[in-house]
Parts: sequence; C-alpha cells; structure tokens
Amino acid sequence: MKLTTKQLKGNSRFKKIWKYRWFYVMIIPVIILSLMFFYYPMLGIRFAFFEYTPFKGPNFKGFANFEELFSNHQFWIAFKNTIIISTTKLVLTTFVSVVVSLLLNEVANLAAKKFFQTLIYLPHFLSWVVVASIFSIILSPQHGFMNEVLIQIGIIDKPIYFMAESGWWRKVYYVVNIWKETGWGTIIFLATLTGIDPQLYEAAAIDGANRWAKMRFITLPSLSQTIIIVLILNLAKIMNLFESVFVLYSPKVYDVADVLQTYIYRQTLTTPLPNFGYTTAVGLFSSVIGCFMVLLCNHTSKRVRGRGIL
Amino acid sequence: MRRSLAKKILTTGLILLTVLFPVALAGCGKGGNNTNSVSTSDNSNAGKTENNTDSGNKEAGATEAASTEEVTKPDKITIMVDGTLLDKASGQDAFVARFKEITGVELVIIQPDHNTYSDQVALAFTSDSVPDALILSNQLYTAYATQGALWDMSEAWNNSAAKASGQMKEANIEALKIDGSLYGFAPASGNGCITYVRQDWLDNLGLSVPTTYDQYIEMLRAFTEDDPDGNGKKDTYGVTAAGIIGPEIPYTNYLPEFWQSAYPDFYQKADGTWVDGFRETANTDALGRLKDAYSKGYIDMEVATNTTSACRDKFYAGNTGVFTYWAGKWNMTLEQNVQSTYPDAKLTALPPIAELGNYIERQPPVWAITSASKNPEGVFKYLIESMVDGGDGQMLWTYGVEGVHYEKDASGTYKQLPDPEVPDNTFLSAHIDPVLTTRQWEDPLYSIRDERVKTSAELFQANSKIAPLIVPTETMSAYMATLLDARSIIVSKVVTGDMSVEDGIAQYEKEQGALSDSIVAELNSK
Repeated sequence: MKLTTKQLKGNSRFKKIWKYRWFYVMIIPVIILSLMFFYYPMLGIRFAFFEYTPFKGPNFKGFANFEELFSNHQFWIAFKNTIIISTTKLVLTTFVSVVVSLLLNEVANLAAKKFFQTLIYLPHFLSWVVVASIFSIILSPQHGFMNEVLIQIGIIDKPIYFMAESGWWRKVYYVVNIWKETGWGTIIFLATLTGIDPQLYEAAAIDGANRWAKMRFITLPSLSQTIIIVLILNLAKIMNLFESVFVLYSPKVYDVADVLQTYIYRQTLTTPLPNFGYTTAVGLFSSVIGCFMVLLCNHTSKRVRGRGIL
Repeated sequence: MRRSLAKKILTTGLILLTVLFPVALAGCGKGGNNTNSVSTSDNSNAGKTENNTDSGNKEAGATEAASTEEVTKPDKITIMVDGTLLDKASGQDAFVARFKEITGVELVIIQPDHNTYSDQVALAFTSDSVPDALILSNQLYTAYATQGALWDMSEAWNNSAAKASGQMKEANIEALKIDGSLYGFAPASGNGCITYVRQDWLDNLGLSVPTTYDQYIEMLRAFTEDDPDGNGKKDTYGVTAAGIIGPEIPYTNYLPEFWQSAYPDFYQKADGTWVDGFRETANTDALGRLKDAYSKGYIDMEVATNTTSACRDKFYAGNTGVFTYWAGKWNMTLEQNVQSTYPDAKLTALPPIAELGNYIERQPPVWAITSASKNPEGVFKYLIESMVDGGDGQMLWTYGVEGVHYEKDASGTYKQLPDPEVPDNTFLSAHIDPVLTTRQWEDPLYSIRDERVKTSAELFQANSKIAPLIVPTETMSAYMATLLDARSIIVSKVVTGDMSVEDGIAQYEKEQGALSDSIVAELNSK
C-alpha cells in the first residue's frame, strides 16, 4: 500500500513524539500544575458579573458591577492616575536606565564599572516600606535634608510638604522609582551593549567617527530592539501599580495618587462585608486595558520594525 | 493564510490568558470555592434560623443545662485568632497544653497574620473552613452577626457561671447586644486613647495641667513657641498624631481635644434618631479648630502622613510634648522611651478637658461562636467562660503559663518572665490585658503592676464612654469605603489648608449627601 504525503508526515510526527516520549512525560507535571494554578483560577473572572460577599451570593447581576464602577467618581480618578503614573514611570525609568547603561558602558576601568553597577543595583533590593521611610525622612518638612538644602541655598523660604502636596507627589514618586529601579533596569541594556560587535566601533573609528557618532549610529540602533522589547513587556504590567503607591500616598493626595489597585484594596479591606464581585470587576477592567495596551504596542512594533514580539 | 489566522487567534488567546491571570487569581482567592461558599452561606443562614429556633426551643433547656451542668464537653475546639493571642514563638504550645490540663479540651488555633486577619476571616466564611469560635473586630462583629454567621449566646450568657458570680462588668457585655441578642463576648474592655503630656515641659514653662480647651491651646502654643526643652532652639511643636481622622471607629481618638463632641460618622442621638455626624455643626466647628491650630504650627506639620511609629519616634525624640495614645501599659512604655533620651522627662496622663468631657473607649474586639459550630454551648462553657472564671483559666488567658511566662517563688511572690520570643522584654499578657479584664478577680500579679500602667488605665476607665455600636445597613456596608474615602480626603485637605471648612462641607454635601441621606433613612427605618 502506498502512503500519501500527509500520512508520511503524520507517521514521522508520531515517530518524533515516540522518540522523545520521556520528555513529554516529564512535562506533564508542569502542564498539570499550570492548569491547576494558572488557568483554573481564571474561572474566578466570572464573579465580576455577580454580587458576591462572604454571606451573599454569588447572585448573577449581569453588568451591574460595571455600571456601578463607571458611575463612580473615585474609580475614574484612580483609572486616570493609573494610566498617567504608570506610563510616565515606565518611560522615565526606561530612559534613565538606557542613559545610565550608556554611561556605564563608557567606563573603561572594569573595577570602577563593577562598583558603580553594584551601587546602583542595591536600592532594588530594599523593600518599598523601607524606601518610603527613607524618603519620608529626607523630604520631611520638619528639618528634612531636602528642605534644609533648598532653604539654605535660598530657593524656598518655607519648607515644602513634598509627600502630601498634590503638586509635588507625582514628581516625588517618579524620583523615588528612578532611584530604586534604574540599576535593575540597566542589566538587560548592559547585556545588549556587551554583545555589540567591537568591529563595528573599530570600523567607525577608521571612518573618523567620534564617540558621540559611534553612540548615535552604532550603540543606540543596536539598543533600539531591546528598548522596544522592554517597553512592550513592561506595558503588560502597566495597570498593576500597588505597593509603591500604597506606601507613599495619603488621603490628601488621592486626587493625583490613588490608582486602581489601591482603590480595590480600600474597597475590599476597609469595609466589613466586601463585595468581591465589584472588586473583581475593577480588576477585570484593568486587565482588559492592560491586554489592549500590549496588543497595541505589538501592532505598533510591527508597523515600525516590521515585526512584533508576540 | 488560515494557519496565520489560527496563529493570531492562538497568540491573542495566550495574551488574554496571561494578562487576565492576575485578576483571575484575585477572583479565585476571594471566591475559589464558589459552590462551597454558597452552601456555607446558606448553611450559615440556615444555621442561624436553626439556632434561633434552637435557642427558642432550648430557652428552657439552656437554663436546665446550665443548672444541671449537662453541657456536652467538646473534645476539640477550633479557634481563629489574630495577633492578640500569644503566638508559637511566645509559647503558644505551652498555652494549649495548659488549656487542656484545665479544661480537658484540645484547643486548635488558627492564627493568620495579624495585618491580614479580617481578610482571612472573610475568606474563612466564604469557604467552608469556619472555626468554632473566633475573635472579631467590632465592625466585623456587627456585620457578621446581622448576616446570621454567629451563634446567639444570650441564653448561655444569662445562665453562665460568669454572670452568676456577680463579678462581671455586665455593662460591657450588655453594650454588645444587637437588637437584644448577644452574639459576641468581650473578656476585656476595648480600651482607648488618652492624652499624654510632658510634665517636665509644663514645669519648665510654669504651666499647669490644662483643664479647658483654651488652656490646652495655650499649652500647645507654649510648647511650640516658648522653647519648652530649654535648648535655645525653636525645634518643638505642640502635638503629634497619626492622622487627623482615624481609619476606623471611633475616628476621633488621636486628636480628641479638637474633635470634642463631634463624631464624624453615623450615630444615634439621645432621642433615638440616627444622623450623619459629619454633616453636623459640631463637626464643622472641630474642623475649624484643627485648621486653626495646624496653620499656627501647633499640630505636627506631617500629621496627614504620619504613621503611629513615626509619632512615637517624634515623641521619644522630644520633638513634641503631647501625644494621645493607648491608656494602660503604653504610659509606662512611652515614659521609659522618652527617658532613655531625656532622663528627667516625666509624663502626665491628662484628664479629659472640660469641652471633651470623656475620652472614647473603642468597642472591644469580641469572641464569637460561629453558627457552624456543632456544640456552641460547649464552646461557650469551656472556651469563653474559661477566660473569665476568676481562677486558673483567667490566669492562663491573662498571664500565660507558670514556668514559661511567669513564676512564683517560695514566698508566694509572682514574677513575670522574659518573653520567649523577645527575651529582652518581659512577657506581659497571653491575651487579656490584665488592666482591661471585664471580670473582677483577685489578680495575683496586681501588686507588681507598674503604677503608671494602673494610673492611666484607671484614669481612662473613670473618664471614658464607649463608642456607639453601629449595625450596618445594606447600603452602608456597600458604600462604607467610599464614604470613609470622602471624609478622609476632605478632612486632610481642610485642616492642612488646601480647602476652606465651608468648601469641604459643601463638597461632602454635593458628592456624598444623597448617599448619606439614604443611609440615615435606612438606619431610622429599622
């Protein structure tokens, strides 16, 4: 009997599977665990459409939770803040990480380079609670270092309450984030920089390129792919701000600082009978937005670079 | 082409799954056992009905049971507790063993992290892992009782040996009744905050202890402007506090001299009607006082962002001379810490100023027996009554285990031992604060108790009234977080100068007036 091409392909695929059967067996626990702990819990999404407190429900409510959500003033403030704070933070920390990576890459002395790298990595390992305490002390209006310096050099004549003034809070937040996360952010860029072929620089030097020209025409183009990948990957987390905001904000700056996750936290934990349906609806909404952002960026990436990363 | 489309669909699906994963986890965490929760919830309610019926049927039976002592002794009692019960590192195993010696009952303790306790309690009720008994904050107590999740212990209390002893502070227990029924028991009163003043600063400035608001403000002014520590620098201010309005009942406890009679939440007036205190003139006046004092620098400039630990540090460092904090053992702790920097420092616990009248005692956390408990009478008798038996049980729940937490020498003198978890500290109590017990007894360690602890506790007890018990309505439960947000924002903005008092109140009326009206209407219609 003569086998068709399709049958031959099928046979060959089966042979391959059989050949590597023990690898497939080994991956079974991973698949089972993934299904149990990643995908099965996703069934919880349905509670966004239910009324569900510790003692009531779940009672199907359709889109009532979403209607309530969209008519809530504080929710929209939190939503707007999430987008503004997250996006600005992402752009700033990525930009500063790239700049610092480029500067570190220029350091010729290996020992000095390692020292500075280690120094700027360290803040990443501090907990947000500790970071908040450190900056509260530095920025305190009562003899805090920053206010004392600004007063001494005559820029201000009375102290600024940085942590509790709407006009200052976001600026402080960005600075704290840059201080804490820049070092960690440089790792991937430095790895890319290390991988750039030195012959490109040598050829550019022969053509008379100075340091700036080398950076502009070799280093930055080589980094651009990594920058886009980092941006897109981080966009997926854009709606997940919580800890950093929670330890730095207060009711006085809710108008500029409250984000969706802190809003969910208060809605759930400051009420004796939390409606899990409502807070799941908030979470689902933010996840859908996050998903949309990733797809948008992937689409943009395809347009700009000719290919996406997904 | 088709393959490319399929790939796209697959990719998009994967992204959706990946991005939606966090929210799914949240959904799962809160309500993973959906079916169970329904049945639990239903069971709870059914349980309540059943128990209510039972309690009706057992009304006579309970009396009989108590009188003939025929309550079935449980083999095991499962309890869920917060960090107010000693933990494993502090000798919980020894505590459990001693409990079994005294009662013959095995105690199984579920002790989640203190900071997430209320969340864990909600999860326990959402799933089917409800313990026999648990500690509930006042807000959870009223909410859970009205949902039928708690056993009505009125009869058990009425027929208890504790009540019959005549040694209980019955007013504390009566204050916990909801519509005439008791669902929770407080072995200790709720305590509250009392104002501590640096007596040495008063002496330095030739001031006496203030008794009126004018004198209080004058003291704050002098502490801010007249160099009370005599170091030649203008580096002090009057009072510090961890927030202007507290996050939970009784809300006003950190700056009571300014709030005075104002109560910025729903409360029942003497004539029985419910009102939203945030919309009353007393609240407007209080905001005016706070704003004025803040603008003059008498109140810690960082009051809007302070944590309690930051406030304590400022007080210890001598930045401020007035700090309102817990009565009782904190008097000793605060003074010891201030004295570690300023050996001559001395604290005075301030009797409430005339305009304040009384400090507010918070509603105590309670021990409640759940509707899911198979033998609630037994749990009441062997668990709850043991805490206030005036003997071995009370000794255990108060001071812990002999030989582990305290010891008695040959002459009969008691001595508290170092905390097994933090050997530098003395172990003070296993669960019940000895100065707050609701059962009067011959406390064998009374004589060795620090005078400062006794003085401030007694001063507070003599000059406090208990915070109102609020049974939340449906709307209130649903929108409490929104209202608390609105009040916190307005109070902090008004007091720190971003907004006038009038604008603040107007904003509350505009944004929350309708909601407040509907909650008040619901409360008044009950």
